Amino acid sequence: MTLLDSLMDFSCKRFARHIAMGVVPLEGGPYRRLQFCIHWLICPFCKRYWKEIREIGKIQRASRAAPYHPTVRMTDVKDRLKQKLIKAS
Amino acid sequence: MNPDAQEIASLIDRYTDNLMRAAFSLGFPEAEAEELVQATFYAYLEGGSRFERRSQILTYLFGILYNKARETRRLQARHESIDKAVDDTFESHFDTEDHWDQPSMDSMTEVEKKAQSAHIGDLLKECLDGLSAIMRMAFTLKEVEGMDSENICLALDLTTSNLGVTLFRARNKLRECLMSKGAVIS
Repeated sequence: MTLLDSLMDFSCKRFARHIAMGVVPLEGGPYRRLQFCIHWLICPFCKRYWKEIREIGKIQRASRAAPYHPTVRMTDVKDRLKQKLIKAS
Repeated sequence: MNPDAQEIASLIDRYTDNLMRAAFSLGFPEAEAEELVQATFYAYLEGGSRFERRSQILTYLFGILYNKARETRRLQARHESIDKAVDDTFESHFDTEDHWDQPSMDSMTEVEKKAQSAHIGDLLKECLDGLSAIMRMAFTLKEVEGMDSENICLALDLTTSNLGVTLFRARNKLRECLMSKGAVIS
């Protein structure tokens, strides 16, 4: 196996797992991280998967920010909670 | 120690938005979400002495909320079958060399893509219904609340590696669901 082959020896499945988990560091040290970056650069499907997973989080953040934050309604909810909890304490 | 009215009011002002968001993301409708948040505050105020300062108050409150939510009928059952289905679908996308076998979502025209992007948030909301409670909660705490992994693990009583697997399943399930609805994500 040439150095080039070795650098490109990183599977799409491994890439996808690492991206979707997102909380565990990549095992294998700097060389493995280099392989990961090279794979990201050369594989259009994995790059796309990476973008999609990132985008899903962004869409969720945006859609959560809008409908559940009408200030007046949340104020009402807080007032009701205060009344009940202070009375019970 | 019994908190006074001012402390209770301050607690409610500070954390109600976060807790309501989490309750909504677990699929509770408005009235039930408010009841769940109320029960969460009650439990916190009653058991405040058990709160250990190794976590933030919000982390502790999320943990209570999640456990209270799990006690309701709404969130019981079906978890294992969802986990297996997600794992099987993920595996089916790869060939024997573990590279992508089914490049997907390329068939839509630009016009359709624009139309889709307008309501992709609604589609995502529908897709969240297909997730198990732990997936929804982990995904919400990570993506919406922006909590770090350590605090999510504390709130949901998960190891780091379990959290990774849960997020992996949640994200792939959402991706598959959006694809099946013809959405273009990126």
